[in-house]
Amino acid sequence: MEDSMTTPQGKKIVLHGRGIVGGKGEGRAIVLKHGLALCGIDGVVAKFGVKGEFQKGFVPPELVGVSVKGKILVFAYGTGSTSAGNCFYRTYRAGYAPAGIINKRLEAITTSGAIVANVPLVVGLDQDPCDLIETGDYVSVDGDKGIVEITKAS
Amino acid sequence: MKEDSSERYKNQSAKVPQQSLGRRSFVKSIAALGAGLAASPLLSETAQAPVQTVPATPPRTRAARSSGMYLTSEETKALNGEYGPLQEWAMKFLTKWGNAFDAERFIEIEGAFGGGPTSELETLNPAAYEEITRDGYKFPIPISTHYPFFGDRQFPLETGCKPVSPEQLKRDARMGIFCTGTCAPYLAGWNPPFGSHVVSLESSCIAYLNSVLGVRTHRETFPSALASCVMGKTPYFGFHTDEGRKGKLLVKVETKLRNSSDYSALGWFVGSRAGIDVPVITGLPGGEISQYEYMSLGAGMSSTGGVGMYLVVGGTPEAATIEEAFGNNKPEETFTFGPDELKKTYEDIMVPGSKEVDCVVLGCPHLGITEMMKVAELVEGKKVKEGVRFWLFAPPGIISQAETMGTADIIRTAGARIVVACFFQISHPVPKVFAVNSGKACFYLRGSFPDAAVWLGNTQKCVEAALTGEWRTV
Repeated sequence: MEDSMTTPQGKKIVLHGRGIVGGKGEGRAIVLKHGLALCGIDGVVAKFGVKGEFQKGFVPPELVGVSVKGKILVFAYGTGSTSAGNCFYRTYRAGYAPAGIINKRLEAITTSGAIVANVPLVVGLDQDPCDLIETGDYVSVDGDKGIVEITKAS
Repeated sequence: MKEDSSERYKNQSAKVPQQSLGRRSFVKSIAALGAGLAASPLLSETAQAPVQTVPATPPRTRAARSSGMYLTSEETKALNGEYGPLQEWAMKFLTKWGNAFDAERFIEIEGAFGGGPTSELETLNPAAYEEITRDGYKFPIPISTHYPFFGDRQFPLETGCKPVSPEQLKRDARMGIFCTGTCAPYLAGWNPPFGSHVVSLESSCIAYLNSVLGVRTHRETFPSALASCVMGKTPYFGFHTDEGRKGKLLVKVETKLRNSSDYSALGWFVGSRAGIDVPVITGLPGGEISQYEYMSLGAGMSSTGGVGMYLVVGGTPEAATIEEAFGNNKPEETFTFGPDELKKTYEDIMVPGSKEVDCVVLGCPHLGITEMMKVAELVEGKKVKEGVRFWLFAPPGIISQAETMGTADIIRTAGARIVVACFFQISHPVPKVFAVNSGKACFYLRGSFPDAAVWLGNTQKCVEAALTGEWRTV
């Protein structure tokens, strides 16, 4: 365990958890230490268009305008408006869905959104994903087996 | 009336009218109304499970390829498509969703608030959508709707919110849908009894139902709410269970909260710490908390966090004592909210900038009649400063009441507008400096108006800003 946490660049770390929505996805990670409202992607009423980008007020300033398309979203749990399911479906329909979601804790609305957008979702990993994974790491998510593989960027 | 209608719905026969194809206008407005739609066959179920126990004897079978949920034979038939594509879709989603949370079974729901726009269902499952938009469908349960509200008849352009036609409302009524037109349907005729199981959208409404009314609901969204409305059932987990309603963390309030904006600040503070757990709050003056203070508290928590329920010891009905609030749980974390935290939270909430206010917004969540009366008292005989928009957002039913009472007239004469919509739909022209009395409004204004300054204060301070065009710092 200790070894895997201090892995040098390029080495894979494998975490095990619970697959909630099946399928596989991989991509660069975007990590939020706390909760995320999925409506924070494009906003509740998509005032600035549907582009799959984080909006101001929902994420730390450095992530505003960052695209989630093809990324692995890592956050603690879902928060905020119940419009998140509709909003996430809208983002998915427009072709900007992330490739996978990793949550520390299972939450009803995020789960609902991931199911309709068919985005692999894994929760309850044996290590804290929000601590271990950093934005930019390359991550693969296997929603069928509940396995997450991390290749550290640095 | 509630019993009458729910009985009526439950007694619907298993016949689903098959005539006529989806009507465009009908379909569109349904999408707009944001309600799930009709279809009722399953309701004449023979083996109705008692609420709290799984019967020892069947008829229950494991759901196909699911690891967990027990289904009645009727539920299994629905899942297998024997009652058409709509119920098949709904059951497939709900079993998947329920299994994620280790739900053992379904529980009947007695009503719903919102059901998820069916425009999304059109692309998600065209066959289910076709079925749900056919003539003659009726939901198995009564459904109240909110979004996008009635639309404001006076200011449709400025609110970006087109009114729903009276014809549409009549059509919806025949399907079991009544439009309360608000994010706070409990102010406008939807008040399920304590302990009842419902389906609800709208994060602030969910927190209010679970916490203040003791009504049980998940934090629902699309498509969970729609699927549950179609079935008249929802998976039994989380806030529907006794153990899911117990506290996980403790918040000790050690300062006096003076008004609803202070309560919304406490909500902001708690939400960002509680995440998705149930917070237990001590130090509040239980019986003295007003309805709008509770609304503001929950709305704050469900903006910065994913709080679907909170417990105020000596205040909310499931927390007479701290022991009752926690049940078998021990507080995993303890936070203190004193004068410093209150001050700091206000600083976190506000977006500083110019103090020349050009838009004052009250009513997030929607105002009740007593809040409207308070505003009327403050503005009577005065005039809103030129160039300042002072908008009050409230349910249509409350506005009618205010009109009857003369309250609305006083407010309008002063130059304020009473609007049926949601504040972030304001679009023409884009405001630069907001004054609001709600932490929730501040949270969502940041996303909708990223360049605007936002000031938070009590109702009186907001009214002063509307009358003078200035935000006072002291």
